[in-house]
Amino acid sequence: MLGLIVPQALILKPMNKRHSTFALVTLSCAVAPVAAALGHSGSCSDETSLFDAPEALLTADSPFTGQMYPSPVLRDIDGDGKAELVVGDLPGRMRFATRKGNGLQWSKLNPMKSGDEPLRLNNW
Amino acid sequence: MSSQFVDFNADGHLDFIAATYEGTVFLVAGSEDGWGQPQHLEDAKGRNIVISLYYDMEDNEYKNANRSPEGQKDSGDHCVSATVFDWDDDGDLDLLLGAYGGALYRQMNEGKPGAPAYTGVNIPVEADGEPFEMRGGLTAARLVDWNGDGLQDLVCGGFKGGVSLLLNVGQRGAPRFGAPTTLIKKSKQLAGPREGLYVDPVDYDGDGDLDLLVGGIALVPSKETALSDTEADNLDRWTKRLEGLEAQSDALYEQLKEESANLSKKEKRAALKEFQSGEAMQGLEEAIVRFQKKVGKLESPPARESGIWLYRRR
Repeated sequence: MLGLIVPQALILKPMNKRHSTFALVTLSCAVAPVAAALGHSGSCSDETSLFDAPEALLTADSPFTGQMYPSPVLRDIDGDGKAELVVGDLPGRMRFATRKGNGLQWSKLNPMKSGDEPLRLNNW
Repeated sequence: MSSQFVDFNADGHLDFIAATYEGTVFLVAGSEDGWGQPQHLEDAKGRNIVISLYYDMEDNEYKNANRSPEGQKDSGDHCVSATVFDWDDDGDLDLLLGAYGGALYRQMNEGKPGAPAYTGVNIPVEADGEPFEMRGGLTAARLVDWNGDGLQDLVCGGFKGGVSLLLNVGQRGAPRFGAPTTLIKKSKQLAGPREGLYVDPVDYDGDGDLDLLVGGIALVPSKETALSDTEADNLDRWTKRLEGLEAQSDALYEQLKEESANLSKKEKRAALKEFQSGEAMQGLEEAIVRFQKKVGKLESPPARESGIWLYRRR
């Protein structure tokens, strides 16, 4: 079953059928440290882009690592006038963080709840 | 799984909708007491909203339900994202369903606010007159007035990287989307997320323009393992050889792209198939695979690590 339903992007394989992405990553940005890969360096930014080089958001002082395909939404979900960062993920969890200051820092992720139970949307 | 927060049932409380890999769409209603339990969103006939492929939890298997317009063959597509949008400006919320394979469909609501009646029929959304397809798969589409013309545009994230913008060049009640343009390249050279890009266009820094908040997976170079001098020399030599072969391959694909620019989609597919099965390309592919294996034996693959990134608008 998993072979059918797991998104292709979850499978550790070259992103491009013709190329080994892993090889290319090592060749091109290979010297960039972990921090650069996670977006703390502008050294690999694209001058033609509409955007500055990506900056990693932080949760409790660390990048949002360990998530399964996080999908962020910035929205005031509790009506307090401040936007929360809502993060859905592949297993169907819905969690949120509150902003700390005006920059990239967010609190740790907390589950959105229905009653006393964490909200979880059924996956396959 | 992306979510959209909206007062779906018109009761004055924020609700949210989301689709999962089950292939169905969920509604979580908000109330004074908080969030309710997730409920499947149904069409007017009481069927779960799907595109085609969905997981039947009772029979424990994937099934197809043809919800294509009458007379059209089953798309077979798998719904993995959902968002609502008053497509025809009649005051109720229609559905936009994103398929894992990259297509996007709309399903019209013939009910009214708070009492939806979805038709159960999925109509492909077009971009520049052709059915839209996000190459490499569509994580989710987001609606936003990107260019400030009062119309909702589409911002789409890709499973294999990249973020595309489809400007709405139609009018209120009759959206029409132009050709996709690139907001974030599918680049192997840039820092940040490479796969599974879920995007939220939002003015994060409050400077009046739209930034992109992007969740996804980055590939983090592994720590180098100690190599002998001979191994290091081999790695350098084979890496350069591999780069050369891949450059040749890229050049040939680019040439094919240019030569088939004026062909129909069907002709392009046929030309690509012929090109890929040709002797020269087969030999090149085999050589690339051979050197990838050689290089791979001396390298550790990069680690995959999730994150959420801010792309500030310049």
